[in-house]
Amino acid sequence: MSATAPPRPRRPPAQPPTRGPQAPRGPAGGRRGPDPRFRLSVVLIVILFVLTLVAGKLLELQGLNRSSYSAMAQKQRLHTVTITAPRGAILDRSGQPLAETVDARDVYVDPHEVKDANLTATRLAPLLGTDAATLLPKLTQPSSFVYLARAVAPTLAEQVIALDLPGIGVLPTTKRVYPDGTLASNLLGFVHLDGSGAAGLEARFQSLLAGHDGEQTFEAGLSGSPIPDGRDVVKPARPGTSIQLTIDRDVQWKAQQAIAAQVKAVKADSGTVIVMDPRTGRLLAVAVAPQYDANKPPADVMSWDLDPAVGDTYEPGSVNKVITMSAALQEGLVTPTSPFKIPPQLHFAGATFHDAEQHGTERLTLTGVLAKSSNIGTIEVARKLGAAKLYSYLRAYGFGAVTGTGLPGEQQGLLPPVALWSQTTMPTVAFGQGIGVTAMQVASVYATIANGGLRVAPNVLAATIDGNGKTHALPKPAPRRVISAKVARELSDMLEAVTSNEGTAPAARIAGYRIAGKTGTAQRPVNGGYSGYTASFVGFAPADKPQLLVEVVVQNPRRGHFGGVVSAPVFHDVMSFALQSLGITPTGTRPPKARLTW
Amino acid sequence: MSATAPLRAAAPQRRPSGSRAPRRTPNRPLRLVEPPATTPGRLAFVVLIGAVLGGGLVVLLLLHTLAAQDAFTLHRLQHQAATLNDAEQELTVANQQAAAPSALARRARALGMVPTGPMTIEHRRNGRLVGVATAAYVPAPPAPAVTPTPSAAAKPSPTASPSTSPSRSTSATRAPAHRHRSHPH
Repeated sequence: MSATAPPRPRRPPAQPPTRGPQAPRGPAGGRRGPDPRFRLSVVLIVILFVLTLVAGKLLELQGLNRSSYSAMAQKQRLHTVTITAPRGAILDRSGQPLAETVDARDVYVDPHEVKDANLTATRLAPLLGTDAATLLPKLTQPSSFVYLARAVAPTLAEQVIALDLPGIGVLPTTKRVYPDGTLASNLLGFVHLDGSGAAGLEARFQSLLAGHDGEQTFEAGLSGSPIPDGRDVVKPARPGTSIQLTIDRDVQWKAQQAIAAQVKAVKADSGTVIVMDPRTGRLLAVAVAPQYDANKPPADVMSWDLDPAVGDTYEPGSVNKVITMSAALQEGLVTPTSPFKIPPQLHFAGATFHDAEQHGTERLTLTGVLAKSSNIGTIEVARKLGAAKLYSYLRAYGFGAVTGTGLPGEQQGLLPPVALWSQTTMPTVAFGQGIGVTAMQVASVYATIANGGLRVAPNVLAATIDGNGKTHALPKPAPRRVISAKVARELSDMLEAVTSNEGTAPAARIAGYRIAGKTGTAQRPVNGGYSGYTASFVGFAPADKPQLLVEVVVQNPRRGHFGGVVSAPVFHDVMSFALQSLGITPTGTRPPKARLTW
Repeated sequence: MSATAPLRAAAPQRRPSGSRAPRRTPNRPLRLVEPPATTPGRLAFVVLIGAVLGGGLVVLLLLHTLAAQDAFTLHRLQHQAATLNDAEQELTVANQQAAAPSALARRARALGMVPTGPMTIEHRRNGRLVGVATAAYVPAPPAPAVTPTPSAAAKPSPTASPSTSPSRSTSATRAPAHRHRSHPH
């Protein structure tokens, strides 16, 4: 209309030249009269104008802002869903899961949407395993999103959805499940709420276990269901790698049971049991007490020393004597029957040394010194050996360095360089005081003797299993010779005498089997002084064909403190169970007749 | 319309002055011409095309309906599969939890079972006997029999634990007391 308005004033002057002769017509004739070509051109201009607008808009839509508009259109139709990569499991040596991930749901509420908070609470409470009174405040919070329950079972979530309560919704998530809550939780660690590793092996191998999330992009209608023949691009998730451990869950369980019971019975601070195959260094169990449930770790768990077997440094005590003996045997300074005269006390380098029990002058062989765990006898051996040699053997057995388990939080212990040793360091180190070791380091020493003098680093990882189910065995640690096979044999025979009636640990004996081992009763360093004891026993069986090694360490027992009394019974229980469980038969041979005195 | 009317009216007045019209009429007599033979064929063709197009549209509609229906079925079945998957996973976990060593030990103890003691083993190759066998469990006369299955599922029954480990207060975690007997050699 407005477009046609301007030409109107021009019309009257245009009329006279063409319609001049027909002027006497009425006003109606004036409307009918204009030149058709003029009208056509006006219409044409109008049409062109409108078409220009349309073309302009088209240009804008398809040309100038094309990408942004097509992006908006795609965004309307395209939905992208994250495909969560399943976290790898942690398996025991026979493939039984110690930790695995399952689908779960989070139940949430939008309190603004809730119609009847009381009714909602009473209907939800039984499903979520709580009571209405605890749910109610969450339902009335001034917020638009509150979690009501985390990681519940999907079938339970279906029941929640079936209630069709306004404001209540569920979100997909995953849940880490430890089928036997406390089993090996010191090794496994636990995960955060988002499923990522928080501690232990879960944290150590986070990147391996986690995998990579994928995503699916598809066109969907208003209802959210995919449009058939629409775009559908799937970038598959790469599942996490599973880890197979060398742990045997039955032996691990028995070790945990036994150490927990003994820690309680002797009112100790803590305890550790290590079970290992000395031939391969494979750890079959690493049990500690107290233990926590990995499914619901206690609030203060982050302040725990999760795995004292590798993280707790203590003074080893008499179990260390075997290193002094082996060094002297290897250097050819003594033989198992070398005679030693043991006075009631020994003055050396300005200090006085006693044995654990009062005695008169004794005449012991080297075997007798070890079997009766004589400090004075061991100092005599160490004096023949010298500090430098003793130090080099301590290092060769792996003291002062991590053992190579790869367990998180592993300590290297405390072994001062020989240059820093004082006059009294050598004799005290000879019987295991004044240095700090971990239970794993001591286990490795005895595994070396059991394995004929070859040290194989303790290891806990057997294989990785990738997302396609393919197993990749991990490289075996290379053995390293520490002492000769002959010396290892002699030491093993000497250690068998420890479990004889004359030795310090008859309680470690197992009917039918030959057992070699050593007790340790050490003073515990606390804040620069000494307080309480560390009672330990480490041994292997069958002594003439070693296949299993068990180490028991009990920290600060208050009912009894000798390794042969506190720790040897635990060794007996765990070793008997493990021998039977793994089908290790007695060798049927008789132990050599050991000469302890002369 | 109104503008062209005067022009058309004027046209017949001009024609008589032209030479073509009078020449045509006397020479050729008018006769009926056979209608073109193609007319019914073209109609059939048009109908055919129409039918094909219409049919095509209907088929297309049907296909789309089917595809949409399949999409719904797919959606429903996928949901069902996911639900079943979840249920399977839950049952698997429940099974694993029941098969966990501590759960097995609890149930075994509730059923009155005890761990094996030392065993004698016969070597197949030479028939030699190795090891020492002892009775794993000597039933104590005053202890009543273990209550049968109903209570077994839950936890160690109070009647069973005193007989298996009388010396320990921590009966749930201890091996039986027979392990602490004096050793034969």
